[in-house]
Amino acid sequence: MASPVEQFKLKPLLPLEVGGLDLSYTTSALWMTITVIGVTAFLTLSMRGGRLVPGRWQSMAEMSYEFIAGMVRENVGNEGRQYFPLVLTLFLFILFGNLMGMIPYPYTFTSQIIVTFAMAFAIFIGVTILGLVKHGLHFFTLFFPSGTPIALAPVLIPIEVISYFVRPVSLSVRLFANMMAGHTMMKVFGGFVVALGIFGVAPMVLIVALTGFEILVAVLQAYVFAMLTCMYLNDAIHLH
Amino acid sequence: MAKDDQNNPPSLDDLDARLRAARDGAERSSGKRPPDKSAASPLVGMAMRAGVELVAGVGVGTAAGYGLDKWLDTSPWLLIVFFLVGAAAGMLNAYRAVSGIGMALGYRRGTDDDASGNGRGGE
Repeated sequence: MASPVEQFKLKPLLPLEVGGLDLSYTTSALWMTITVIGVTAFLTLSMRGGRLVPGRWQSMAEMSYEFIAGMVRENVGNEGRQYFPLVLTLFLFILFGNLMGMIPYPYTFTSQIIVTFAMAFAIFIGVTILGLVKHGLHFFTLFFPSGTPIALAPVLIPIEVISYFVRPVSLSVRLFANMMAGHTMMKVFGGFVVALGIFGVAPMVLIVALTGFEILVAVLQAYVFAMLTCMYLNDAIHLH
Repeated sequence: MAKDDQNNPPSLDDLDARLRAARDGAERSSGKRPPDKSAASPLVGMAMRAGVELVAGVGVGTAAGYGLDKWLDTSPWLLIVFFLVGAAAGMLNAYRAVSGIGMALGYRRGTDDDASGNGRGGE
């Protein structure tokens, strides 16, 4: 029987090497492409009718749009409106990736740390640049809020700086760890079902519950990712 | 609705008033918007966040210390210092995640929670 982590193995579909870099088109890239196409199709096809009274698909598209629009408005305020496309794209990309991973056979690209880290790091860099452009050197007051006793500065500033640099790591690790742990766990319990023969009914029941839980996690992690993106944007824009 | 507008094009003043009313409504509703469907998820999300924050803080601190030690040849002092600072940062972040201050650095955000929409834009 295959090992529980076998499912995360990348298989190159179109081997490609440019200047010593392995740029192969892998299963992960394939499923990212499918996700992008899927999201685009979901949004465009469901809105094609554009009815005043939405049907099922249009309703789903509108709900995801309004959900993120509300999230951006609540967490970033009116200035955040221009970043709405970014947040919606991220949310739908991760959501579709996570949910597609729940279907047997697709590759869950969000279970790769480098994929989630690339997204988180891009946000981190973007938000930092945004803050610097918007506030100039004033941006660094983020690390030392006014009203703090000056004696605390040598302790507080390193802590705040580190906690700023922790952001991309925790953002990416959270998504990656949740997806990877969930999929490994399902595979392990799946293995139990086979290995235990007739008594495999017990882990099978558990796996049903686990699948439901994993779908919850899939949606929740996409939500958390989008939510934290909003919070970082809010920090950069308002500096409180 | 479209038909209505065609038959009787509203005056600009009228349109202005309606726009303003709609905008006010949008702003107000954003403030007191009940945390309906997302009521449960932030709690679960927060619980999941706290653990990762702790580990990530220690991890980043240690990695930074190790890297700086390699670079400045001060092994093992920066590693020790940054491990402790990282642990503190991790705890701070976890505390912030749980206490609902979000990931905000610096805090000083007064009471926020539900009516955050307008409260956060304050400064």
